[in-house]
Amino acid sequence: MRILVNSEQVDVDTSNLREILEQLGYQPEDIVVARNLEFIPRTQWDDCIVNEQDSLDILAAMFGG
Amino acid sequence: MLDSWEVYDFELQSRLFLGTAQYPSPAIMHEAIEASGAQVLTTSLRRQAPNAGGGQKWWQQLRKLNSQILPNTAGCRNAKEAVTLAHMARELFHTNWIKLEITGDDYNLQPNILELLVATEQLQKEGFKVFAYTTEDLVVCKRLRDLGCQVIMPWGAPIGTGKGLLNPYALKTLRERLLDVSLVIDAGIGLPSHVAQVMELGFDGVLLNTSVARCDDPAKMAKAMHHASVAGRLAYLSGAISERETAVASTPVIGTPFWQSKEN
Repeated sequence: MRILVNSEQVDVDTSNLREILEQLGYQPEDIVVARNLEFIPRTQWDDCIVNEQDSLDILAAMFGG
Repeated sequence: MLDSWEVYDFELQSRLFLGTAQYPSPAIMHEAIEASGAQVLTTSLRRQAPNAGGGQKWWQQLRKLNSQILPNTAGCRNAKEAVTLAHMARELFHTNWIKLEITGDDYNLQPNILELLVATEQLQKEGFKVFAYTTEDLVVCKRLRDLGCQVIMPWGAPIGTGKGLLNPYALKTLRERLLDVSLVIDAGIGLPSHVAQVMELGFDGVLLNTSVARCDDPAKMAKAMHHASVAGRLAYLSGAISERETAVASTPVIGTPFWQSKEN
């Protein structure tokens, strides 16, 4: 199915959030995730279902002022 | 020795908060942090490409400094975005401190105070320790205080401008009227003299980034900012004299040499 990852169209073959992140090559401990602008705590990744055209924001630590 | 102060039950000796953006290199940033003496460092969250890893590597290096991390919500346009990002920051940085920034105007990056109040109320209820980036508006700052926000961060001037304090009157008023919260000037600082002015007004601290990171020698400027914060704070504690309109001789008048009574 096709989803949006950081505003980019991406094809994935699972609807489980943790599996999607692993498929995409993310290191789980490095990132935090929002689905459709709602924060998904790491403890809920195993149970989180991602649907066709859902939007994921995957963020990491960065410099800031 | 400078007096210490408390930020949400965390004791600080330094009066400077330092941003971590825009440095020429991580090594120069580390030198500047050390030279500034800052104990609070600001960070952000940004979208990450798969296998990039850069952000995490940088974050691991920053953690070794044992500084207090203050993540920001820079770039958020409304309360919902900011609240979501605050939740993400809490998980990523392992802190409930959040520098709440909500942009209301693209040209001068002025904070959206209406959305700020909404987000502050929600985050305070959820146990976050909010550092509210706002304008110098007294009524807004009073409302932030009433919502439980203990650290209010009015701008000195728009972010990155280096103009110093554009509205000293309003900022002085803020300090005089809000004695029960910490006031930290955030944004617009360009020079150590600006920092000294902030501290002379009785503000509790100053947040710096561009003025240090983008100058030719960040570590040297960071040291200068540190000295300015100390000088300004000591001046505030010393109880400076009031301005007056007429001259008053400092040297004793009695016994002035060559003085003659003018009788003609």
